[in-house]
Amino acid sequence: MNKEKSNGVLILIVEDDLPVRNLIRTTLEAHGIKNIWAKNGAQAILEASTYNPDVVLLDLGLPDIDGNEIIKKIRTWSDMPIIVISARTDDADKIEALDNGADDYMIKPFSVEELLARIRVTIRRLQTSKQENGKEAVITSGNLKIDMGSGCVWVDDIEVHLTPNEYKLLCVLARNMGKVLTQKYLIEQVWGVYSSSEIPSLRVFMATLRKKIEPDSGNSIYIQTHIGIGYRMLRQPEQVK
Amino acid sequence: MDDISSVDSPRILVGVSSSPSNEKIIRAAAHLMEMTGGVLTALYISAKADSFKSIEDRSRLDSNINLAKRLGASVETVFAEDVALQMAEYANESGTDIIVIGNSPAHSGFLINTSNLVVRLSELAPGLEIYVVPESAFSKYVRPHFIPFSGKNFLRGMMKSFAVLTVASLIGMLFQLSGFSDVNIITLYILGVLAISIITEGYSVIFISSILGVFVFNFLFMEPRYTLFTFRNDYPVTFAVMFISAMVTGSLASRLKYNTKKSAEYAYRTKILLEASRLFQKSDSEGEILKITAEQLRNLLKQTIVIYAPEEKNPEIYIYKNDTSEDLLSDEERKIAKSVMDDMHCAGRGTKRFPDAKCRYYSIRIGNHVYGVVGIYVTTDIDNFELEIMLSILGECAIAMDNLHNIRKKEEALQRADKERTRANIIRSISHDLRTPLTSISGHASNLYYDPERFEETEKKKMAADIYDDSMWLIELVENLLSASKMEDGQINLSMTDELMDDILEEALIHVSRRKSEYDITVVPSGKLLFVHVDTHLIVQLLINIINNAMKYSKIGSKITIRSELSGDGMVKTEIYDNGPGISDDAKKHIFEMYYTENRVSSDSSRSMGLGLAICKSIVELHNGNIDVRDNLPHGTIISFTLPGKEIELNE
Repeated sequence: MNKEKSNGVLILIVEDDLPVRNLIRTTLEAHGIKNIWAKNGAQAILEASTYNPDVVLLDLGLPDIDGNEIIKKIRTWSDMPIIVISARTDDADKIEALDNGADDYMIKPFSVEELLARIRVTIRRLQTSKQENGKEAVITSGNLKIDMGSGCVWVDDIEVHLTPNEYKLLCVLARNMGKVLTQKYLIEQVWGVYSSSEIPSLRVFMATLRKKIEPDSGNSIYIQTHIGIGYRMLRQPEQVK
Repeated sequence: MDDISSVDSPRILVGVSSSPSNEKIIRAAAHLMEMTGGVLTALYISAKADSFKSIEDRSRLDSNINLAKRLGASVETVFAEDVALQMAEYANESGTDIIVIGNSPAHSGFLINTSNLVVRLSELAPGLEIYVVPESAFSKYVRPHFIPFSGKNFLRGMMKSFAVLTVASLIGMLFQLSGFSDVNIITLYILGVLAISIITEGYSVIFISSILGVFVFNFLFMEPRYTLFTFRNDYPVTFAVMFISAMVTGSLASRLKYNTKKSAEYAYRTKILLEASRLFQKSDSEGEILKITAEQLRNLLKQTIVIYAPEEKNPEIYIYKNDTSEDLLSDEERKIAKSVMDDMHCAGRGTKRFPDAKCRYYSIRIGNHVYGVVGIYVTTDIDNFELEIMLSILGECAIAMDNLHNIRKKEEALQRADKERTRANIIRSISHDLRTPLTSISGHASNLYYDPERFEETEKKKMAADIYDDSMWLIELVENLLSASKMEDGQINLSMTDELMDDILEEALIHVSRRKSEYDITVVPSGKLLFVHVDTHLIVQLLINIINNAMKYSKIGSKITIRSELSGDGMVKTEIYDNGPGISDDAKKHIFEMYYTENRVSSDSSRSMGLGLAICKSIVELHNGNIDVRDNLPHGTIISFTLPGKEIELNE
């Protein structure tokens, strides 16, 4: 096991089930991604603080500590991306994990492609945010360009007119590119206070926003819906024509 | 009967009657009860003849019954002609040890005297101890027949009397002109008094009419006419005879009338009881039984009835005629009703608890189970006979409620057993179905693990693909089972939210089989924001099942189209078209049944759970929607379902 964090990224796998842990490890190693692992919460916190991994894959159902507690602990000292793995189909625990600071989630059984896709998205976000420090005035993803300085949005170099709420939503999503934002978080950011009665409004604005910026209405590329949970903006390679 | 109680605390039976001496007997029996620590039952044997009793009798009977109750006896009423037989039977059935009776010949009317009763009782129930209470003070008991005096009635009666006597006089004059003898005219007046007694009430009118008739006859027809004097010596005798005849006929007719009326009333009340029990047998809900009870009590008592059902906040009120119902449902009244519901004892107007309340409350109960409370808006007194009938109706009502309750319990138990059986069947079938893919998965994995060198690279790949397919099949099954378990208790476990149909479709398409790239799947944009009020996970599962099913039964490359639109009735309709081989009409009837798999030529493995579409149907129906299947043209299948739509208001 290579515990050194050298040129590539290092992923911490927190999973108590041996076969699943083996599956993740072999998959990662097959794709040349370095990893370390922990089989319980205490070990996870130790490993995370010792090696400061780039990404944590965290199973919520651990024998000793509740996964959400681990997220809260890690967030006290680090913003390292955390991808939560859950066997429960309930939305509530995923939302809790996301609100506690997790970046993304997967439900068991997940496919290998899904696992790799999530890691890829997170790593890309990691690299761009390192470069841009998350404070840049202009954010681009594919053919979408958001100029926060002037408050203008372009798709294919054509300016798109958004309502104030649509624009606010887009900015919140863009600043958290690659991260799943819960409905609660988005409503707090756009409307100021959370109220569940705003959820339908959020859906409508999201739908109209996507209609304005997505090239293909049936197949969104910029904004992903996580039904019952929230939304995520994806960084697309630049200028795909 | 409990042996110990019959030894330690004897059961004492006392007969209740309308006799004035009965009070003494009841007190003697109560005294005996206190001395022995026994249990006292006061038995009132209502013979048919009793309904012909006077009001005075009636009130005396009531007071005797009340006395018995006050002294701690439980009062029972039975209907029988033969007092001795009935008493003996009752004593036998109730395990009575001691019977207390009086020795008055009037005890049970004219037919049986006490010595007769004692002899018969000892014959019929030889084990009984019979205590005879002497009551010489009341040795002679007359039944007076008396109708209370009422000024208004009297005046009306007198007017009628005048009218009848005038008519009689006119006819009499006609008789005299025709030369008929005086005797005919006298008969005419007697007839007149008879007529008066029928159309009026009270003895005073009959009495006065009789005298009046004599005087008018004297005045109009006796020489010297138009005076109240007579010449002939025998006329006073004639007058006396005439008066007595008129008086006797009149009072007989009056009594007959009174008795007829009483027996009609008696019959009416008994009819109400019979009708109530007949209606109870037919009814099949608690509400109906309570309604019948209220209506029958209203008919019986001619008073407004309030019904409180258990667990029901708002009582039902059954107003009698023009009664004002105000305040009958006030907080205080409800409180009393509630307390009766809790402790089952009668309370309210005229009782010890809350005597000033508007209504009197009785519980409808069996054992310790209260099925409701009846409130009677007491405006006129309830006599004991009415009370007995009323308590009988309440008793019948409680029995009917209890029966219903038991039937329902039984049905529930049967349903539960049925559900358990179904569940056991499903689990057995699923476990059976699981064996096939698990055999394949474990077999292939074991080959790859133990003998990897025996297989060609292509074979290994094929084995891995099989493992993958089988495990995907298992995943699909598990998802459906999770949906099924979520739906098991109806809508309770659903988490309903307002979602965009397009979002749900997008989510579903992410999760359909990885072979979706081999098909041409198109989502037709709806152009509108179609919100549905649903449990999202179930609807995603529904779409996954339908789309996977469409792929399973269509050739690779087939076209699958999904379209959603608002249908007229506020529902959102979604249709999934495929251009596969289609489904036969016969199979269409069954595809939503559990474990139905159509035997079609399939490009894929023929293994199928047949669980998917059945779950689809459950999901749609749980959302109060419809699912159905029809043919696509020129070939293929369209599955369409509706879900409740939702209007959304925007907060900009």
